[in-house]
Order: sequence, then C-alpha cells, then structure tokens
Amino acid sequence: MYKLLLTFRYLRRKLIPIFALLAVMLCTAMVIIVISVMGGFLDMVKNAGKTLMGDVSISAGLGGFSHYEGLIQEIEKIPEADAATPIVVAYGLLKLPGDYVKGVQVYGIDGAGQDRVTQYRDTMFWTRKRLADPQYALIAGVYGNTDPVEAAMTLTPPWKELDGKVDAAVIGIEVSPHNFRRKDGSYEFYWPSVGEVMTLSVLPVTKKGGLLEPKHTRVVVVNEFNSGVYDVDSQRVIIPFKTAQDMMNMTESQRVAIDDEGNVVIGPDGQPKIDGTVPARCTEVQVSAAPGVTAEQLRDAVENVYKRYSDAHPEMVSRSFIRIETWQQRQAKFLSAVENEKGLMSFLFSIISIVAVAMVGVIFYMIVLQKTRDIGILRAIGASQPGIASIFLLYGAVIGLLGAALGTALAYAVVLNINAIHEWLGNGWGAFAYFVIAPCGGAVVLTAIGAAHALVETIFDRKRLATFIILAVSGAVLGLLAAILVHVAMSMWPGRYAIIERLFGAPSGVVVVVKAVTCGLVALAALDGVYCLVDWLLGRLRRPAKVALLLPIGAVVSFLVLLAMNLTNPALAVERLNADLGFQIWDRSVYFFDKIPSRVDWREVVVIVIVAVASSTIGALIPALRAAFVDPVRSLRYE
Amino acid sequence: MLDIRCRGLIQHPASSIQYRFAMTTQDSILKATSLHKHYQMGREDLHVLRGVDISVRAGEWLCILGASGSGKSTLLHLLGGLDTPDRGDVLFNEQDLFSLSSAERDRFRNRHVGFVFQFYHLLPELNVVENTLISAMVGASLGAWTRRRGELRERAVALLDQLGLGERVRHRPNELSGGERQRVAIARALINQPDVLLADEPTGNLDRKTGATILDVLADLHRDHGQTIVMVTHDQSVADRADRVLTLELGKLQKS
Repeated sequence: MYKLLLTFRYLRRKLIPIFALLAVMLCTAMVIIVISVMGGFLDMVKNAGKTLMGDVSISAGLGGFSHYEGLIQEIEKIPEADAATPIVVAYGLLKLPGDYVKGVQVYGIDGAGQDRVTQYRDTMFWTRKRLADPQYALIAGVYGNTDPVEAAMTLTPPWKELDGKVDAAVIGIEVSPHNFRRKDGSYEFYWPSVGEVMTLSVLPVTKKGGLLEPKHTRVVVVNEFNSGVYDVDSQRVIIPFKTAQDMMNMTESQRVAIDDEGNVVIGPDGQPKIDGTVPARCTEVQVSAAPGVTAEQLRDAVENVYKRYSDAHPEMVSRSFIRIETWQQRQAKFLSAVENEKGLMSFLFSIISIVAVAMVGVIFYMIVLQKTRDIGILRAIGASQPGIASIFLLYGAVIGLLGAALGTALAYAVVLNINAIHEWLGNGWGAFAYFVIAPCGGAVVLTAIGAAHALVETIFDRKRLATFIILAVSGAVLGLLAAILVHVAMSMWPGRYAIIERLFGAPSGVVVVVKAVTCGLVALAALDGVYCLVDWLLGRLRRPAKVALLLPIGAVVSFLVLLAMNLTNPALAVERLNADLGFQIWDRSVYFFDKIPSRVDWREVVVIVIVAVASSTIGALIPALRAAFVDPVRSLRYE
Repeated sequence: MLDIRCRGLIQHPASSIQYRFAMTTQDSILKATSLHKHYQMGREDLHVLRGVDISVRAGEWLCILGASGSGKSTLLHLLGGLDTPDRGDVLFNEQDLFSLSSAERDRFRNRHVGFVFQFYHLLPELNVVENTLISAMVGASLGAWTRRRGELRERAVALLDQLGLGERVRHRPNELSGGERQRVAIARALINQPDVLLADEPTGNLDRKTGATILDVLADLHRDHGQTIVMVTHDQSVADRADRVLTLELGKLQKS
C-alpha cells in the first residue's frame, strides 16, 4: 500500500519526474508521428497504385495478346472479380503547343470500362466544380456548357466542330511543360492544354515483334488527369481503346499468305493472297476484385481462368509471355523502398527512444540519491528490499504510462494537423522568428551586456572609460571570431547563408574580417552605450528591476536593428527568413502529393505505448535496484 | 505490564495474521550476547562493539549512555535488526534475529520494534497522519489496508491527539517545529504497538525545554502503557529519566 502512496506523492511533489515525463512523452509522440506520416505516405502510394491499375493485371509485351474479349467474359463470371477491362499500352511521341515534343506512354482505354476497374473518373483534374473557380475562367470558357468529366469518360471531343475529325485524349497534369506546380501544390496554366490539338506518333508492333511504319494521329485534349504519382502524371496520354488498337495495328485484320521462302504469295488477282484473319489484340487486361477479396486471391482465381481459357485457345499467345500480377507486385520496387524507409526510420527513432530510457534512468537515479534517507526510514520501519525497488519500478511504469498517454495525445494532435503545422512552419515560423526570436535575442544580448558591464566595472573599480574600452576590445575579439566563423561557413556552404552575405557582402577574406571586427566593436560599444543610458535613466533601481526593464528595451533595440537591416517590411522579411533558413520542409514541388499524408494506426500506437511503458520501467530498473540496496544504517546516521 | 496490546488503544494491526514471535511472560524481551561490530573507516578498522551483553526486560525503560562515536547507535540498530553484527546474537523472545530471513527480519522490525531518530526522519511528501500511518501501511497488503483503513486512521488520529498533535494532522513536516516533528516520529514508531521502542538520541536535536517534553511523552508511555523503551544518549540529564542506565565505554557496557 505504501508503495502506491509514495509513488503518487513523489510524482506530485517533485519537478524532476516532469522531465522524465517529458522525455517519454516526446519520444512517444516522435515515434508515432514518424510512423503515422510514413505509413500515410505508404498508404497513399499504394492507393495511387491501385487507382491506376486495378487489383490484378494480365499483361503481355507490346505485341499484346488476342482473344481478350472472351477472356474478360470468363473473368467477369468468377465471383472473385468485380470487373475487367482491356488496355492497349504503347510508347510514342506527343507534340505539344510550342513545338515541344515529349516521349509519352500511350494508354488506350475504354473510359466506362476503365472506370469500373479503377477510379478513372476521380483522377480527372477538370471538373465542373473546379471550373467554377474564377481563376480558371479562361478554361471554363473553352469547355463552355460541356462536362469535362463526361468527355473524359466517353473519350470524345465535346466540341462539335472537332467531333469526328480528331480523337480525344486525356493527358497527365505534368505532361505539358506549360503547367507549373506552385509550392502549395496548386497549378498554374501558362498555356492551357485543354482544347489544344496535338500530334501523337507511335510505332506499331506486329504480333511477332516486328516494327512497322510510324503512325500519326491528331488528338484534342479533353481533360487532364492528376493521379498523384509523378511518373504517371508526367508521361501518360490516354486515348480511346479503338484508336490505340488501330494505331498499333491490333485490330482484327486479314492475314497475308507467306510461302516457304518468306515471300508474300500473290493471288491470281495480283493482290497478296489472304489466307485467314488475325484477331484483335490488347496488351493488358486489368481486373478489380469483388468486395472482401484480396488482390492475391483474385490473382490466383484469374490465373486459373487464364489457364483454362488459354488451353482452349492455344493461338492466343505463348503462356510464358503473360504476366499475371497484383498491383503490389507491379509496384514492388517503389513500395518496398518506402517500406524500407519506414522500417529504417522506426529503427532510428527506436535508438532515440533508448536515449529516453537512459534519461529516465538518470533522472530516477538522481531521485534515488535524493531519497536515500527516506529509503533508510522505510527500511527501518520494516519495508523490504523488493518493496523499495517496486516503489521505483511502479514510479517508472506510471511515468511511462502518463508520458505515453500524453505523447499519444500530442502525436494525434500533430498528425491530425500536420498540414496546418507545416503551413505554419513555412509561413508562421518566419514571422515568429521575426517578431519574437529576434527581439528576445536582442533582449538577452542587452542583459548580457549589462552583466558584462557590471563585471568590468567591478574589476576596474567603477571607471566608466575603462568599461567602454574593455567592452570595445572584447567586441573586436568577438567580431574577429565571428568573421572567422562566417568565412568558414561561407566557404563550406556557399550560398547557404544569404543573410550573412547580405550583411557582409561576398566572402573575401580581409574585407569580411575587417567588417566583422568593426561591426562587433561598434555593436558592443553601442549596446553598452544603451546600457549606460538605461542605467542612468533607471537610477537606483534594484538589479532585478533593471534586468526586467532591460529586456523590453533590448527587444525594442533589436527590432530597430532589424528595421535598419533593410527588413522594414515584415512580410518581405518573413519571406527572406524563410528563404534563407528553409523552414518549408515538405516541398510540394518535389513530393508527388500536395498534402503531407498521415494516418494513425491504433495497433501501432498500442505497441508504441507498451514499448514506452516498458522502456520507462526498464530505465527505472537500475535506480530501483540501487534503492533496494541502500544501507539503511548509513543513510540514517546523519542529517 | 507485559503487553501493551492488552490495554492499548486498539488491537495490533497484524494480530489477525500469524507471525513467528509468540509472546511470553519471561523477564527478558530483548537480549544480546557478545556483540561485535567493526567499521572500516578508510584504512582504519574501528572495532566499535567489543562483546556487548545486554538484556532488556519487558516494560522497562533502559538508557544506554555513551560519548559520541562510542557505538550507541550501532548497538541500537543491532537490537532493532536493522544492522547485522560481525559476531554475537540478538534474541527477541528467545528467537535469534539473525537466523531469520531478511524478509522475516523486515517483518520483525515492522511489528515488534519502533525506531525514533535524533533527526526525526519524517517523509517530507507525506502529511502528519500519513507519516504516522506509513508503518502500518508497510505492514499491510493492499487488501488488508483497504479493509482496515478507517480503523487504522482513527487509531493514528487518536494517537496524535494523545501526543498533542490533534490540530496538526494535515500539516506537512516542514510546517512543524522540531518538537512536533519528533512527536510525529514517536507516533509513527507506536502505530503498530511495538514491543520495544528504540530511541536514538530523541532529544539530541532539540532545545532543553522541548527535549524535556519529548522525555515526558516517553515517560507517560512507559508509565501508563508499560511501553518497553531502549534509549541511547550522550546526555546524563536525559539518561536520568530512565529506570536503568548502562554506559557504553570502549566497546563494552558497564553499569552506571
């Protein structure tokens, strides 16, 4: 009983356990945040993959395979499959406005069929809703009354004057070089692609792999899609299935007879002799799983169907050409990289958590040392050694539990608001630095100057001139040190310290040193002057009162310095500080996703909390043992 | 005169639990034979106790008088089973303390002896009544404590009331005077109604007047409840209050 009482009393009365609590809390929060963000990233990558390719795909090389319609009918009969759709994949060149030519991946799809297998419709960038935004008024004008998503679904131009003349295309949002992604993840369209007619060229491949003459077709962009995966968004052009089939020579065709020597057999009419038909082909069939069916289950089922079907139609394609894969398998390279990264991060943060264990250990050791006498008393009144040890173990466990609970709450709050926090770090932190840190720094400097002044005055027996001289000299020394540091920093990371460069100009040895020394000298002497002025104004105030007044005065002075540094416009200053110090961590122009993804997996949280409590208890173990072995006689002997 | 439990305020908290020390009516409740204790002080070996024989009779107030560093506290710690001798035995009701397991010795300290120290040694986080009850808590399991909490609390308050601390039960040690703190320490030592009260210079840190009130408390306990007390002091005037005084000199006990 006394163990519980003392555990809770120790918790309530002392400042030290709060530090241990903080250590556990921050570590728990850190690990949860990292795992949640990495896990969110992984989920998002996975979802993006799934959105793009359905659950299972049957693919052959660019030569494709025939009899896909029958295969799709068979697949759609099995209970594991929800829907299946054929695709023609090819590679080609797209000529964009401004005679910009780009290598692209051509996707021939059936819009409606594709939408049943993937979330094709949801990836469309241009929707009626977005077009309502006044900044896209120009593009809204291009669409007129037509529905951009409908155009993408049917893959037909919504503009009457173009219908039937050119084919429709949906291109990735990053395909056009005229689309510019802003830092906040939104896009700017310097030359809107929508409504533009572009030329698409492909090299058809025969079933046997031979290359034919390039084929060109003119397509009009009816919409752009944004899947969130940069590789896809920057390279894919979607055109109607039939068009792609046609361009790739994959439609049903007549077969020309060829004699034993490889020559085309000419018929009696002087035309090549036809000896049969070649069935239509596609390169890939994507299948989505029925609800509750995993991708793996679906793959096995599809494999069986394929086996049966290809046995019945041996002319389809050689079975070894066909790959039946789940979307995870196709994305394996990328997914496993992120998964590895997540594992590595968790490992690194676990090491940091060991630091927390050590901290709890050290803090508890200090508590035990402090409580040696109490331990002696408890032993004298009959507490056993295990009893004493269990007080500290219990204490460790309670701290672990409280710390983990608070850490979980903190992590949840951070994860929930991670984008807002990031936004604040990007924009608010600069402002924070400008309005809070710099003035506070000035205040601290002025107070330190006051202390230095007092010290020098004491040493030199209150001679003001001597004080000035000493402070000026120390200013010069500090300035010299600053100059050396500046020089080293600037030569090591050229361009990194834009603020310093602005202050001192380009790094050029002697000039920097002279400038820094002068600045240091002037700054210290000036600050000391301010201090003397304040000292004189405040007269006989007591020292704490002086310090209290020096702080706000220092803040004002440093604010004036900031203004003098040409940073008169706070908004501009914030922008500069941001640029110089790089507070924007998640650069949306680098990562595919315009938001930091995150999700809290409660199973992971439970494991982390258990580990935190266990770690904290383990941290308390050595101090607890030390407490158990305290010699009561020695600890009670003296006050 | 033998068992304050018979007349004490309330029953012993542990009386419902079986324990090894059957009460007997023989004269000597605590007995030590040829106790030796060495201390290592740097390179020097201090032979503090050189064959101490002592017999404490039930219900008596025994005082051990000795100069500073004569080994009085060491002897007291040995008698209370807090320290172990290099040689010799301590018998409590004929039971050798040092043949017990350390857990049994812990239980012995909790139930049969009460320590009072020169520097009070109260736990600063606990208030007066909690400091008093801590001994009872140490002896009780969580279940036993929950069952008997009210009763023990009443007993602690009654005890503190007797010691003149009725108004102070919610105060913390740092809000009390030295004399008050020592009375709380005495209450803590008495809460489990021990057979022997072991007091180590209980007035050593107090002025003479306050010290006298503490001695009055001990005298009352001895007279009214027949409390067996073993007290050590360097002060002759304090020793004079006891029934019997032994002097510890050169590591051996002599009659004064």
